[in-house]
Formats: sequence, structure tokens, C-alpha cells
Amino acid sequence: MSTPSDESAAGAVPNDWEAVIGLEIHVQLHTKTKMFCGCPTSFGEAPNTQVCPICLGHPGTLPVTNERAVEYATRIALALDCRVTAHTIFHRKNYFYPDLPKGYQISQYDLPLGVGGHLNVELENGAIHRVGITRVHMEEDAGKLVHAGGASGRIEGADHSLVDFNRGGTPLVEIVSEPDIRTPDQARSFLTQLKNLLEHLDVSDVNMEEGSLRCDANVSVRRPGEPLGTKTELKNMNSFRFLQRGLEAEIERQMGALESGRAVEQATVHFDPSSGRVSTLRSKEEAHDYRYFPEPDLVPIQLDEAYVAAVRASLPELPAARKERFMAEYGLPAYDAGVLGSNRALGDYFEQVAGAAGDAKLAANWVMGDFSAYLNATGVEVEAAAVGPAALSDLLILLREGTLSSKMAKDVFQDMIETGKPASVVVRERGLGQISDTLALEELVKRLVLANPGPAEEFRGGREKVLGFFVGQVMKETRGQANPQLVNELLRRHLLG
Amino acid sequence: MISREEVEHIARLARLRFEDGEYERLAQELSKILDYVQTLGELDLTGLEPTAHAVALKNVFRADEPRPCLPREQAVANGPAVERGQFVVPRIG
Amino acid sequence: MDSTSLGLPRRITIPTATDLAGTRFGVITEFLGEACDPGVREVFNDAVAHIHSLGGVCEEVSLPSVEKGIAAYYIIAPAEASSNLARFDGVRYGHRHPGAGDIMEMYLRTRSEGFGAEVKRRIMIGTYVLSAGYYEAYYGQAQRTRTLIIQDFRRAFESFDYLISPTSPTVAFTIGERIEDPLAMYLSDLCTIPVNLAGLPGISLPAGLSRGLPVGLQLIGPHFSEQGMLDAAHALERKLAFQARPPVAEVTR
Repeated sequence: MSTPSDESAAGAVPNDWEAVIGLEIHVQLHTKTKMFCGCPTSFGEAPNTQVCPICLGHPGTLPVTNERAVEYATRIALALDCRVTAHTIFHRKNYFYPDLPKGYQISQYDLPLGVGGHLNVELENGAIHRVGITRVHMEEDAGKLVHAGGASGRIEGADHSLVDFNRGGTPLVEIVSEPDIRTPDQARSFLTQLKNLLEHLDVSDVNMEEGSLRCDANVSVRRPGEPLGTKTELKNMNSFRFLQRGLEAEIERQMGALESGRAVEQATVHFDPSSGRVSTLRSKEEAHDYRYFPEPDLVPIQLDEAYVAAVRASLPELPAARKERFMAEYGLPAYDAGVLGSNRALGDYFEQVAGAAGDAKLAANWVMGDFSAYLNATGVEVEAAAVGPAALSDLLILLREGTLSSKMAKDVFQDMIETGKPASVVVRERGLGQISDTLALEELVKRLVLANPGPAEEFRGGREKVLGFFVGQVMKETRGQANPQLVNELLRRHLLG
Repeated sequence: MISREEVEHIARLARLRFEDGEYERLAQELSKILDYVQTLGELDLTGLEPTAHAVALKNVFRADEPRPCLPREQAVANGPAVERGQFVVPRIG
Repeated sequence: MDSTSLGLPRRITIPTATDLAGTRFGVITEFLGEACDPGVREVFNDAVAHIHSLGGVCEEVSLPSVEKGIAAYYIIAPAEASSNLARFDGVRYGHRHPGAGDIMEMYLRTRSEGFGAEVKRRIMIGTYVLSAGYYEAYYGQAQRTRTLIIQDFRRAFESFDYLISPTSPTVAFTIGERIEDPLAMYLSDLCTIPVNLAGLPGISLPAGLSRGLPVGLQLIGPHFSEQGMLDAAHALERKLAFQARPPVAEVTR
């Protein structure tokens, strides 16, 4: 049963309503192997080729915890300022679903790995909004279902489904936020900055399209100051945009219901990006009863202070600290430091360029400007960019030394992307290179002043604009390669002298 | 005493179905067994921690090192219905 | 090696002991009470006399909590079984009911056809005790009872090398006799279940006949006492000299 509703056109929540949003984020850890068995966690392999008797739930098989997964989960808990639980255990969450091989998911319940953390989210207007982190816990992923026989590939209308267990057993960390988020924009900022944080921690591919970062939201609306309204769980938002649009649509739906005197029913809500609509999926079955109990096949995990301290010490520099350092060390403005500090790969790239080119501000401008534009246009990852940090810094050196003008440098950069050749080779092959040779230019300037006595006289009479005429002539003769600053200087000296 | 409705609810949770006449009998059997196990209430258990394992082990881990997977034909060999290397299940929605 | 295995490298050798000189045996009072068949008690008492004759010392010891072992076990074991057996869902292996129109129907028919009556009964008990609102009252209490049982055994082993009791309070019941009364059937495991809950090694020796049916003597040791326990069992077994094949005429109804 589904009840479609129109997506809201306006993103903002009206003043006389308040939305209360909490997010549940699932992060696939990029360990080599699964949570409880030695199968690889690789993505995109042929179905049921990354499986063994343990992750297929064969009778008599027993799980053993992946040490690296615990370490990664601890990293996440610490980076979110959680308290790491000294004595933590796994529970079984019991339910039947064809992608769940054992009839239960090994997860955590009342003793999660981390509790009571927060993330300071920088909003669009620069304000800091603190979002509480209720818990960080470890669990295993389910397999994947492909719905067949229907028109849409969706579960509705399919007459059977195919199950692939490659993903089953992949280590997951679930991060649950407090209901501290008030708008879809805030939710998007939270998720973006959480993704950046996870990237810096190097624990996950954090790719929403591939499902290594997944986000569900608990949403309710109320009049400001009133008690919490009935919440719904919004699922299937596999991009930042869908998260925002899904929340907007669901908030709109709930406000609409309440304003017309109807109640919001507790339900799971699905966002369909193609129609921009949300539909409630009312289950025909009884409410879930997961019958949690401690997993008898696994033993408790006790993370002592020394372990936690060691993991804390191994944490890489995180976005907030990196931003501060970029401001202090390179003198970057807050905005630039924020952009470069939040993106791990881009920040690394910037540091290499700045170091080699010897001009941090110039490096920041180029990395955030032409280089980022190239990445966005092509979808190439920083690490795979056609122009590496050494190549870019070589180009910037030519620019700084005056061999190239800004305009020329941009052209050379485009050539470097296309051909993969170093800047110096492109400059030579194209006969580029700014003429900064004072003697050569001086000859030309003298000749032009003598050949144009009329305009020269006008300039001496105070008509500054005539200088532009002479600059144009010089550029024409040099095919635009003269150093403009130098040309200006020489022209003034010879016209007035 | 457990009601027939409770038995039906539990059966559904466990994905079991019984013959119509069996529910009443099960309600009686389960009630008797549950009455018996509830005699634990006679013990003074205050201050005792629950025991999940007879021997108190902790921190048992494996290194993050890949091990061979099953060849696909073996992985799906026992599947009651298999199509293109995947397990087939009837309509879910 | 799975997560709950200890992996202690202990080598067990073939037992050779022939006497029990100086070995202290605790006789568990709670397993000789009303539930214990008089014929079983008689055979057990004879065995105690044999232990004395081999130089062993037997004294009664009370472990009050073990009487609740069955109650705790019939919460814990069905709870875990209900979850362990959820994997028999007709998806990856095993029986599947053919031709079910949807997944729910497939689950219901597959599992109802595939499991036997006792298994289904235990799945039902286990699902019930874990279901919403009942966890602490049942599973939590049972796990605490387990703690108490472990404590009682530990205390007893401070005074005794091994503990002994009949293996079962009655001799074997006839086929089908307790099928209508599952609780009575469960109670025949009165003496062995607490040993399992405490994770202790135990061994059962045939000690004699009652009404023509064998009576077992259970020997229980502390953790990792298998070698000593086998030695004691070996000495006692020789002394008891049990005739493994009872004369058919003596079997009575």
C-alpha cells in the first residue's frame, strides 16, 4: 500500500513548524575481509563468489571477529568524541528476510562500542551546530536482493527475487545521531561533514552510490515548543541530494497531514527520486520484535585504556584541526582552509603543490579553481588526476616567475590535462612563454613610439587612455607574449622620457 | 496461562504454522513449561551478573587476512532454487 | 578455532589407575531427593560403597541451586535453539516447500514441514521467552541462575576432587511414555543439565541394574580435570565390573 504525495517545492521549513530529524548512518568498513569470516569485501564481483560456509550461515559454522574492524569502529567512535565502552558485546537481532542468511544479524544492542559523542557541523552561514551522537555500534551487513519479474526492478510487482550474499557479513558501523537536526539543509551539512570525517579516518570508501555510506532518517514535525510529533523512518536516500529532497518531501507531507487535521502514522517511508515523491510502506505484518539476546557464539570485547589511547594516537589529522592548521601555516582565509581541510585527498594535493610552488595562496586558488573544475567536469578522483601535484607546481612556478601570464597558464593547464605533458614541454611546443626580456621589448617600444608621434603627443598631453593603444600594438607584435607589467613600465618611460 | 492468540503470534514470529487443533494443546503445554521455568523466581538472584559463557573468555579476534571463498557452484549447490548463480526466493512484497 | 574454544594444549593419556586412595568425592544431596527412583538410589549407594573399598572418601555436599538447572536450561537452550534454527528457512539449503506464492508462505510451510514436533515446541518456547517484554523475566533470570550454579559448583570443588550423582533420577522410560508430558521428559535430565550449564566435564559409568535396566553413575570434575576424572572412572569401572548385556528375562515392565 502506498500513499504518494507531492514533493514540496520549497526547501525551508515554515516558521510556524519545526522539523525534528535524527539520522542513522551505516558505514561499510573497507577492511580486507568480512566481519566474522575471511571472505574478501570487494564490491562488484559476480554474485555468490565472495562467500563461504560462515557468511552463508551453514549449520555448525561459527563467527570470529575481525580485529581490524574493531579498530576502525573505535577510530570512528573516538573521532566523534564518543566514550568507548570498556566492556562491549554483540547481540543477535532476530528477524526473517531472505538476504539475512542466519535468520539473525549479529549487531550490538545495549552495550554499543561508543556512546555520547557529537559532531560540530558547520552550517552554510558559517555557524556551528552541534549534533549529538547517541551511539556508534558494530554489525554485519546483509546480502543483496534483485527483484525480478516486475516492471520496475522494485520489490512491488516483482514475482520473485534473486539473492546474492557477497555483501553479507561485510563489517558495518552504525552511527545514530540525536534528534538535533532541524532542517534538510542541516541534515545535508551533517552528512557531508560526517563523510569528510570518515574519509580522513581512512576506514571506509564512503561512497553513497555504491552503498558504502547509507543514510536513514527519523523525521517528525511539531509546532515550536510543543512535544515531539509521531515520527516516520525515511529510507533509501542514497545521495546527498536525495537526503535533502526526501526530507523536504516528507516534512511537507507530515505538515500537510497535520494541517488538514489528519494524524501522522508511525511508518517506514520510501523516497522515490524519479518522481520526487514519498510513499509510506505499511507493513501487513505485526510490528517487529527482534528478540535481541547476547550472541552466544562470540565473547565480550574489553578495550582497555591503553588500547583506546593507542587508537586515539593513531588518528590522522581531522578536518577541523586541518582547517586550523591551513590557516595558521599557510595563511589561507577561513573559507579556503575549510574547503581544502574537509576534503582529504584535495587537502593532501594542495599541501604538495603549495610546498613545491612556494606560494600557498596561489596553490590554493589553483587547486580550488581550475583543478577542482577539472575534477568536477570529468569525475576523476584526485589521486587519478592527469596533472599531479608536482606537475601543477611546475606550472605555477612558470606563472610566478612571469614566464606565463595567468591567461596563458590556464591554457597550458588545459593542454597538460589533455596531453599529460609537463608544463615546460607544452610551453616550448606551443612557442609560449612571456617575453620578459627588457632589452628586446625596449627595442620594440622605442620603434613604436617613434612610428606613432600623434598618439605619443596625446599621451604626454595627459590622455592616459592612449597607453592602451601602445600596449595593444606591443601585444600584436609579440602575439600576446610580452609581460604586460614590463610593457607598461617601458612604455611610460619612453613616452614621457 | 498463555492464550491461543499468543501462541499464534509466537508461531508467526518463529515462522511456524500448526494444524488448527494444535494451538490449544500447545497453549497448554507451553503454559505448563513456562510455569515450571518461572520457579527461578524463587531464587534470590540479586547482585548476580548473568553468565553467557561457562568460561569467561574475552577479546578473541582474527587478523584481517583473506581466506579462500567457496567456488560459486559449491556455494549454491544446495540451493532449492538457483538462477544465474543466485538463490531464487518467491515474491517478497 | 572458533571464538568460544580455549585451545589449551593438553594431551589426554589412556587411564590406568586401579585405586582411589585419598580421592575425595562429594555426593550431591539434591540429586538423591524425592525425584530419585529408590531403585536408582540403591544402585548408586552400592557404587559409593565400592568407592570406599578402593580407598576413596565420599561425603554428602549440598548445591542448592542445581535443582533449578532444568528451569534455567529450558529457557536458555530453547532461546538459543529458536535463533540457531532460524537459518533453516528454505533459501540456501535444505527443505523448501515447493510452489509457495510468497516468501511468508514459503517460510511457514518449509519450516512447519521440516522440523519435528519437539524441535517446534522448543522453537516456540525460545521465541516466547525472547519476545518483547519477557527477556529479563526469563532469559536474564536464567543467566543469573547459571551464575549461581557455577558458584555452587566452585564452592563444592574447594572441598572435593570430584562430585558424584546418579546420571538420571530414573531408569530409561519406555518409548513414547513421556511424549504427552514434555516437562516430565525434560526433568529426566535433572542431574546432567547443571553440569552443562557450568561447562564442567562429566562422565557417566554404568553402575548396575534396577528393574533390569542400567543405572548410571555420573562423575563431575572441575574445568580441565579430564585426565584425573578418566583415571578415577577407570578405577571405579573395573571395580563395578558392570555386565554390559542384561539377561532378557530380568527386564520387567
